[in-house]
Amino acid sequence: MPAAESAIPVVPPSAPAATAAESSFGLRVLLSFWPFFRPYRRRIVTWFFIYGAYFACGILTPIAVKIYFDTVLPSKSFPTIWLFVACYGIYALVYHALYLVGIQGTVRIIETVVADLRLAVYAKLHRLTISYFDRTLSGEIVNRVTNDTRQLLTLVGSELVNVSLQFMMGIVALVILLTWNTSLGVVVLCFVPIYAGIIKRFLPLVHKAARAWRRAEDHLWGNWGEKLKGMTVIQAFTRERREALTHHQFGHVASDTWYRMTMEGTRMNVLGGLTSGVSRHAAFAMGCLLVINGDMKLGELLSLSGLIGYILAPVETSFNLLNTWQQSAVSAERITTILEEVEEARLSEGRRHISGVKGEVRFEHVYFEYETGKPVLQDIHYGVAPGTSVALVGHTGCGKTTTVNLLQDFYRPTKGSILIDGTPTVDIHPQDLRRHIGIVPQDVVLFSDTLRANVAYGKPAATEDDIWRVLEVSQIAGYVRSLPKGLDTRVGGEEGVTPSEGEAQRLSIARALLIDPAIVILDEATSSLDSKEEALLQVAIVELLRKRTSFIIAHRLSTIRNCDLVVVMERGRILEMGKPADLLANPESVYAKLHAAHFTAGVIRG
Amino acid sequence: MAKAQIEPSYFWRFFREFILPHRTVVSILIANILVRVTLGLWWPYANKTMVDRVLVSDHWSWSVGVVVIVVGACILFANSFLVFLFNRVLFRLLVVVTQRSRTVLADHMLKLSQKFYDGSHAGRLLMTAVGDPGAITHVMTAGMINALANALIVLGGYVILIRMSLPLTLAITAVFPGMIAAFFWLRPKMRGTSEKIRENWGILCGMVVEKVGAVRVVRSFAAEDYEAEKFGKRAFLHRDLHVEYNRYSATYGFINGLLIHIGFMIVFVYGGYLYLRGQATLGTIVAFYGYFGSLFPAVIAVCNLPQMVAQASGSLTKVFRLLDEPIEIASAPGAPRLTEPVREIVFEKVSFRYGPALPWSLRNVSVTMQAGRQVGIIGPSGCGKSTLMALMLRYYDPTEGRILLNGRDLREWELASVRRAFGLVPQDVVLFSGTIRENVLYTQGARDDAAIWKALDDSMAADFVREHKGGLETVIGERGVSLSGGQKQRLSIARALLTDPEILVLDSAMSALDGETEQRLLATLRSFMKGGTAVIVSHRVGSVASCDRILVMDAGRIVEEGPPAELRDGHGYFADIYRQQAALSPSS
Repeated sequence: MPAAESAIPVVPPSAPAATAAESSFGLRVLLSFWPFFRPYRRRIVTWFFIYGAYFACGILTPIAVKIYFDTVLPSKSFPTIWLFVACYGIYALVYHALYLVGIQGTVRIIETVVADLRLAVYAKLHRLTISYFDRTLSGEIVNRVTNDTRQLLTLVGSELVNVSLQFMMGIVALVILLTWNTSLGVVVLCFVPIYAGIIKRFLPLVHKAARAWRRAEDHLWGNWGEKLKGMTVIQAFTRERREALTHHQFGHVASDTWYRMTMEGTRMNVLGGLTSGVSRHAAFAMGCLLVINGDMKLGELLSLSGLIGYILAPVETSFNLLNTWQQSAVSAERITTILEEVEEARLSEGRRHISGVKGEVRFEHVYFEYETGKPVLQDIHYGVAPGTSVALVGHTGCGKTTTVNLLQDFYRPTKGSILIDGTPTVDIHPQDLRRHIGIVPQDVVLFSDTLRANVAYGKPAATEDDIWRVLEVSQIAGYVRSLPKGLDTRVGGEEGVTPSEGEAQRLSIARALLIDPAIVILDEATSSLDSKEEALLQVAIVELLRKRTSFIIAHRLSTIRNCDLVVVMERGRILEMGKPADLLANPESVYAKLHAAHFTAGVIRG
Repeated sequence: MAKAQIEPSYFWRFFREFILPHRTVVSILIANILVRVTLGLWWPYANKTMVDRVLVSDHWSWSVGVVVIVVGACILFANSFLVFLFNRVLFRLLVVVTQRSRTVLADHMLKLSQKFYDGSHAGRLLMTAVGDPGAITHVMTAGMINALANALIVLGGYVILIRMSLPLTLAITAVFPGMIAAFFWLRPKMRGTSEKIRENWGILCGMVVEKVGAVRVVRSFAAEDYEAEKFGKRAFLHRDLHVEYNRYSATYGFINGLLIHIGFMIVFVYGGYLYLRGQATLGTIVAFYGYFGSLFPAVIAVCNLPQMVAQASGSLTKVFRLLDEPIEIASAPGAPRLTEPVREIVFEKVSFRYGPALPWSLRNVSVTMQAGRQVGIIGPSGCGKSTLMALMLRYYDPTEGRILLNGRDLREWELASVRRAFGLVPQDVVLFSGTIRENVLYTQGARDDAAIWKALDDSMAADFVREHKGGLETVIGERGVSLSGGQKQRLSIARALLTDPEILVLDSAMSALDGETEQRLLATLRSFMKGGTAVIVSHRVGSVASCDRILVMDAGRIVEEGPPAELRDGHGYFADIYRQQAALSPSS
């Protein structure tokens, strides 16, 4: 492998995330996402102020209560009350209008950044080398695009903004309280550490229990989902009773962990609620004494409860933030590993763009290994003129698939090179190269989209006529025409169609034909079709291969016989090659022996 | 929306079957609520008394003040304790009811026939089996009980407030219609949008799953930019939906917040007016101000009940439809167990279709399979060969005709004993997450390692099992080692061998193996099965070449039947494919 590619550290993806998140508290990695916010920085500041103004206004409610009871009512003048309420009404309107405007603006920015980030990660995926997908579980990749991006933005988006604003308001409320009455303020302040202590003690327990519960729930769903799909086997092996028991046990664990989680939550909420209740009550009792002694006004006493709420609020949310912070730092790491991954394009810098390909292919002493020391291809050396059809023959793992993977530049030869029209594949821009290679895979992949989108996959700009032409040639036009929605029929899903095996194969051929490739890779399916379907498929294949250089991973004798060249491979080497008729004529040839062996193995004696 | 399908009887059924047995617990919970709601009513009184009789009174007394504070403190502690007890009991009840309903569902699902599973969406079925019981139980216990508590809070609150001042109570009631209107105007919109969000999220995730799985196809067609553009549209649609949802929820929050403040303004103006005219005390205004805030969420919670019930009724309908799904394939009452060896299985004019509107999958099939002989069934995809096997194992019953086992209708034997006679290696290999040992020992509780290794040897799986460090304890499946198709098939064969089946059924069981491996495996199986019965289903000539007899199927009929040599020399379909379908390297 070239140096650039082997430089990619091959590490288990989740391991570095956890350590980095713990060591620097993930701050650096979180900050590295600033470029995603940068374009919106002005708007972010604006909305932060609007949202902050909303928070700040909130504290006026308890103050208004004080004014009402201490100034307005004692004035015993009705116009004063009206004036007060008019002001209060305006205040309420402004306060809630700030909320309405502020929250919408904030959500819009956050969701825009999430979308930007998701798109960036997704687009990046499509620029990574294929080897990335070999060493990363697909479930993890999917998680990074979907859930990790969300997790990351939850932190920045809501938690961080809310906690910082709540902290500010808590301090303001405390200052107000202290100016009203210092000793009362100090008493209230005493409850803060108790409250914090309770949250600090129980919140980790709640989170731990929640993780255990989620795991148990995963097992419960996973197990039953698997068993639903394997119902045939369960019934064939008459294991119903034991499966019921297993399911019951999984359910039991899930129930148990849920109960434990909710009870930890209950403990925290009850004790926390009691603390805040007691603090309010104590403040109220003390306030009453102060009022009686004339050291405090009635209105101040009545607005105590509201102020205490402001003082205690940031305590709980900041502990919550700690938890979110950790998770988000891990998510951020995971996303970063993708964003920092080497791009195929960077490895292809300085490569040539090509426009036309004739289809001459030459393998020059090609060696390849996925892992060092485990050769997969060794000294592959042959060349074919444009329009030649090549049958690759050999057992599983002999290197047929690797050969065509190298041809498409999914991997680079460890040694030697593959030349297309005399140019090494590693000098051609990979996308240009692939645009001239059509592929019909063994397991046809049709995407859950319309038939049109599927057929025009490699050439979205194709005209209606182009599409119908390749459908005709691939012997599948009749099928498409028979569908009420024609080309706009969806594949799969509720209202979509599920083409049969043969139909899917012909659609796949149409898709490859549409890009009019000079080189074709056909990985023949092993399953047999009924005679009618088989005949249609053969016609389509003949059309596909016509005048094109083709590499066929062949399973049918008839296919091999029609090829210009047979390449028999074993353990990454070419055993022999030649025209099928020539090889068969030579009784010493491996091909002839394989041929014979097949017939003796499956032979019917008698 | 969901209202059309509300079935009140389902509520009653769930209540009777799952909740009524816990009536004592439910009564305790309701008693707890009654006590707590009553205690909660203390607060407006305490406020009023404190203000009127202590704080602004000219001849105030210590005793009243001390009583108010001490009783208040006691109520605080008592209430916390009661909440704790309440949650403890309620959550236990919730867990027990959920668990029981889940178990009942699972038991039923294990007995349902293959036909049922053919027509069901696996994901949705899983949701009904695992998710819905919890959702229903939440509504039927916690939801209902809390709604009751809130209704009592509203009711009790009104009694207290009316007793303090009827006109002021009526005045603040004016904000509730507005609140209820906002609820019924915006909640459906929010629900609709969150539905759209979930749907779009599903599509978005599906897109990533699909394209990551087919990354080579994407690259082959140089469709990277096309994909990014499509994904971008979805991602920004997702943003727009979130913004839309937020617009509704922010409006809802705006209206509710404003209404609360309007309520305060009413208290300030009208209360102030009454106070100045001497019709209300200062304490009354304080009590109204304090209590109005707690009345508001209670009213909203009560409003929420219909929606909660509507959601639960959707789940209830799904759960009970599943529970009411008839068990089509079951042992007839008193059906004898199959203890004698299987002598023969006779298909008598069997026709079958998967549904009344669907084409026939088997047409008038008559065939006899005898013990000790090996039968090969061959034909193109969709010819009915797998259906024939499914009928033999009684996954389905014939639509017409009958199948006789030792001269007695298959339906008259005890089901489990019939299935135990077969060792099935299904077409789509099903292995479960777990160790290799757990998988191959699927039917047996314990067998010695020697027996397991023998089966693995016979199925040619021993070598690759040995290659893994964990050996038999190697974990396979999603969280473990991933196996190739051929390896899975060989484990699946080992699993069938370990049941010591009378009849081994290989349903396209070696499709992922190359021809040479298949032949070697067939040879070992033959020595294992010496004198045993086997049915080998395949589309490959090589797989069935050594059978005693071959059935050739096409379009649901048996078109040719006889010993292989005879068919080969004939001029039929088999002779045709024997010549044509010679495959050099049928590997995948």
